[in-house]
Amino acid sequence: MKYVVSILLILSLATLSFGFTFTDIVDNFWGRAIFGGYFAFMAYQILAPNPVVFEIPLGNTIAGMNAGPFIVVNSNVTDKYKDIYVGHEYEHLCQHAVFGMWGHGPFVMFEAARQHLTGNDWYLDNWFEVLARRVGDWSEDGSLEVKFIPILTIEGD
Amino acid sequence: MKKLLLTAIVLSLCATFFGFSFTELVEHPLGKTIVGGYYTLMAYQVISPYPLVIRYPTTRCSGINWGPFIVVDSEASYSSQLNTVAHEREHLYQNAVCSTIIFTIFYTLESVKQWCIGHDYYMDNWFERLAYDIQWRYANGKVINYFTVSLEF
Repeated sequence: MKYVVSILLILSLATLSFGFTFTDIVDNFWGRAIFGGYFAFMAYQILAPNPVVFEIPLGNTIAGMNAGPFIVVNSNVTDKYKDIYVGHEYEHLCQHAVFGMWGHGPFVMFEAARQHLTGNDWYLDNWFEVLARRVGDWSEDGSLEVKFIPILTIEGD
Repeated sequence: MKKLLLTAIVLSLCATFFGFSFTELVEHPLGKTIVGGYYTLMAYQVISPYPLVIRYPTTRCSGINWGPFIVVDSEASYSSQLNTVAHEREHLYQNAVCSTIIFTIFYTLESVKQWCIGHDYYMDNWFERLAYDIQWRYANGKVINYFTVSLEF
């Protein structure tokens, strides 16, 4: 996600600094590949019955993560919990889909800052995380139809 | 564009006040159609060299961009329509790079900034200047081989 934001920031600065139009940025091979790929993958993740999930070893502290249209689950997590984490990350993907590429991050950060300033936990009490944990729980009780189906698995320790 | 932003705000307010999660909103058939359709159409408009253009007979404006949709006045001359498509496609790309909500906020802030410093809120808007720059290139033959797929009403 940081890389995508960095690339977009550089592109935007290039536009400002060198007078490129957005047509110059998007209307070429790499622009079509990056932005077209992003929109096509987002469309697939939303319209397909189950999202594409990458299963990668992420150590002992991170269970899963979402970056734009990508959902990653830690391959070290036991199968019992994988549906829960996919449900959790799918909620973040849906938040991203509604707010847009740039919209989601600032809202999450503002909410984290608000929770921190009011004495709450910036992560656990964050509204976006509260919703995601609730959706993860639906996976556990079987009320969420989105299931863990890995497309790429890299086994960890 | 305004309607899309309004929809996003209403959805977010619904999620906030009624406790809906975004998964419920997006997984609902209507939500899936709107959000999935938006991303599918945006992917098509960005990837395809033949953007989908809706030609509509109107004298109110030469063209308009709303999310992934480009509408041009079908009663304008063909060359004028091509230039307008180039202009509106620039807005579509601005929309694609900045994302709809942020683009709308930036566009509005830029308009307010230009108005506050005594400039024209529309013609001096940075996003409009870029779009007119592209339109000018089309008008001067700097960009060629432009095609459209049209839906006639």
